[in-house]
Amino acid sequence: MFKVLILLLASAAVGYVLRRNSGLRKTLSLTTPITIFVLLFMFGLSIGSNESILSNIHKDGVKAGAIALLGVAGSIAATTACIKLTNRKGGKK
Amino acid sequence: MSHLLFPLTVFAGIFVGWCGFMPDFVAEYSLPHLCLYALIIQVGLALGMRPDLKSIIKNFNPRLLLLPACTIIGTLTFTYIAAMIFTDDSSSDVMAIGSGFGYYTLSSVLIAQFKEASVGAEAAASIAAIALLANVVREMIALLSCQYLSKRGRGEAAISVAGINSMDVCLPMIVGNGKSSDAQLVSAALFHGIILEISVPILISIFCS
Repeated sequence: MFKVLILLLASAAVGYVLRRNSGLRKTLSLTTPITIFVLLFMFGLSIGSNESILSNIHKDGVKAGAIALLGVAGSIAATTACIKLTNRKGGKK
Repeated sequence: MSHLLFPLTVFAGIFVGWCGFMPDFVAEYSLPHLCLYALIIQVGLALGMRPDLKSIIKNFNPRLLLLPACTIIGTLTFTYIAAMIFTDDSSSDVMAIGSGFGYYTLSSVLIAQFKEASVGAEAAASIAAIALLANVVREMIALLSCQYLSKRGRGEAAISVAGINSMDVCLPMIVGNGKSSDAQLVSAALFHGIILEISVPILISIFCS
């Protein structure tokens, strides 16, 4: 966990220092999608070569849909509750 | 455009893998891992190089933290309900899937890498596949509902639904309705996206450990 976090924050700090380097910005806009394409392609390969994942894809699809819908519902519920709570507190002042 | 190409790349990979072509470099541990670290470094660099980062930090208001906190707490609480429904999966795996907040590229790859050591490559790929689908669906829901919510004066809910996409793909749908609150919503949406971008690897590594 810390490895990823440190890597993310350290590179953000480096990015901030080099924020005026338009060459790096240009390079990043090219290399980032390429890295994602390579990663997603390799990820797809590992799914496609795995028969048990492919045979369960319909079941996993339902699961994924339910997790996504519940996540969205949770976000809306928490935000609505928070706004109502802060508005009520603000009204009391 | 890339948002259409990313899922297509996964499908291309699935097709090639299904045809029986599985090069050795994918099966090896090092290349996917190196690519993942390269991606995290690039995400961090891009985050630090944002031209609006200084003004976002300068105009920081502690109240802005409430919105990402609500998204994280709300998503994880309701995802826990999903974990109780799908009892064949461990609750921490389902929570890790929910922790993507629509960031399907990074979250699925992170889960595949982090889970590999504990459950093996096959089970890790299965969980990561669900994460990919769930987060693609979340982004689709966000794309379809953000404008609707925002137009009805529920800009904060729109930002929360968008998850990580509040700072890029969904931003034009959250703002741009010609309302006076648009300027406030822009900074809230950008801050929300940045906080979630940092939270995704942290939360996934917590739930996968």
